[in-house]
Amino acid sequence: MAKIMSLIYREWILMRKKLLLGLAVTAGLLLLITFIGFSYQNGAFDGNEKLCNLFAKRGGYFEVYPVMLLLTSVAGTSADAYESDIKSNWARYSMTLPAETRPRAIAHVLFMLIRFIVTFLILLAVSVVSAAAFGKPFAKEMIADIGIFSCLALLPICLVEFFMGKARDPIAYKKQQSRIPIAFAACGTVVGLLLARAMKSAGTGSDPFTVLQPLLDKYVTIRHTVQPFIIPVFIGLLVLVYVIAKRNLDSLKQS
Amino acid sequence: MSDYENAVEIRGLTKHYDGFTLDNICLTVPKGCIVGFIGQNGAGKTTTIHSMLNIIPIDSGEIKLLGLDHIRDEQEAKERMGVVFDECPFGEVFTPVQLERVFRGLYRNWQTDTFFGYLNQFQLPQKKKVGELSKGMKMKLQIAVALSHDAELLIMDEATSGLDPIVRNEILDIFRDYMMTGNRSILMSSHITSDLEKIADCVVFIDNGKILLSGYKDELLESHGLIKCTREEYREFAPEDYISARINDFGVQLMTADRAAAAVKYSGAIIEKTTLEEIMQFYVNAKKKEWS
Repeated sequence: MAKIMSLIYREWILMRKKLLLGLAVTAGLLLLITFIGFSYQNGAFDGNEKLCNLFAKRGGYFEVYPVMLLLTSVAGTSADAYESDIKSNWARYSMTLPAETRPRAIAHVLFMLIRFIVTFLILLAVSVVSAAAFGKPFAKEMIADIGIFSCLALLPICLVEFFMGKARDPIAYKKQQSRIPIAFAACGTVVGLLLARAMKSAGTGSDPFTVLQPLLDKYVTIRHTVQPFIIPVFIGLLVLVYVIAKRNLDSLKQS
Repeated sequence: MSDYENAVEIRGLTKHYDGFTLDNICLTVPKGCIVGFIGQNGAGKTTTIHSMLNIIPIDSGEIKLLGLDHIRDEQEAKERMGVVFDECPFGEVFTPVQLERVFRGLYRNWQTDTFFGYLNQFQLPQKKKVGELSKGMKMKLQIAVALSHDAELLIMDEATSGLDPIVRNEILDIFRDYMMTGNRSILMSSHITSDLEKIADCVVFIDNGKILLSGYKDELLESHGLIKCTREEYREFAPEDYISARINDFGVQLMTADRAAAAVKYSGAIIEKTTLEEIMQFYVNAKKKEWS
């Protein structure tokens, strides 16, 4: 256990700068949302009917999504740690330490889990504050939303783990790093096409609020369907990250 | 804990790569000794050390560290040894204090007081990030980590390369102090033979994946000799009496492995004491027999 705790501490030191930056940006966004919420309550958007309708329907709820996206993605990133380790040739040195690959992979996944739990709690706090700012009660669905976003954030992390963890030296790291944007672009294209299809079938115009509305409605239906699977999928993805991390650590000896 | 005769015992180590083979390596580090592992760049020193540490899998052979099998008892062996590489493996964002917290949990016998004692002795700032330290300081930090868990065996791979002579001498002093406590051993790979001449008890020469020569340093320096002669005199030397011959405009230098016998057989010849570097050079060129 002491070994795992030490390795978790090591990962924290490697990633804390980016994690704290993510928290600072989140705090800024929360302030902005709170400001918009109170402005809305004080009638600052009364001239904009569509915006008022949207806030009335989803205020303090819809606006939290960008924060979610930002925080979950920042909380999940291990790329900085990989870059630092490859630069300092930590992988070779770590194999001289009395720590097997199993505790090392466990520490990696546990730290990821801690990050997600902390992120989850922060997002929960953000959504409560945000709802209050818009004068709405806290919507329980928000918890499911945070869970879905956490799973969505874990998917790119799996990609990062898969590609970055395979790199042994700076040249291989750069090569693997260049593959990640391609993978993201491919995923983005698929998501974009699906969205376009959904928008086309919804038969909406070019107004962003009108366009978003059917998509949000559709999301609510999807959320209802996927809700029971959120925790199993999240756990499954964590296991996948563990398997990839352990496999990458084991394969260090094969070179 | 210390019921072993040799801190390192390698028998028949073989590892094939494309274009390079570590061929049937046999190497011993007796308990209480400093063994210098000498060879040119690419000779196979690092591959041997990586094999010992199970960083790379071996094709065949047997490796024992502190009397323990290097694979079966890997974790136990690694608890009791320290490793220092040519480059600092700690991330640039860490401070020595943070590193102490990391290693405290990793080593069963970690000694916090010893670590901070070394930091003070080496004049290393506790709260300065690794990225802000000089190369010599980074090396000392690595050594401090390697020496702070009561390691019985210290393995160093080109630890002094790239450092200026003053820092190198300081590091050699650290190793001398480390050896003052009995039952400790060091395997030190280097291509800087002058460092090993100062500190090593035994020397192992490796070239092109093969051990060319090994033995006690003083005996090797005592038995080997450099014969200086003219080209005409050189013709009188039987090839089996010298390792190889360096021929240049000023004459010929021959390395003999038996200085006493050569002095008797070639009584008029000038036979000088030699250095590890010269011995290495002449052995590396032994196949060519003549070189310049």
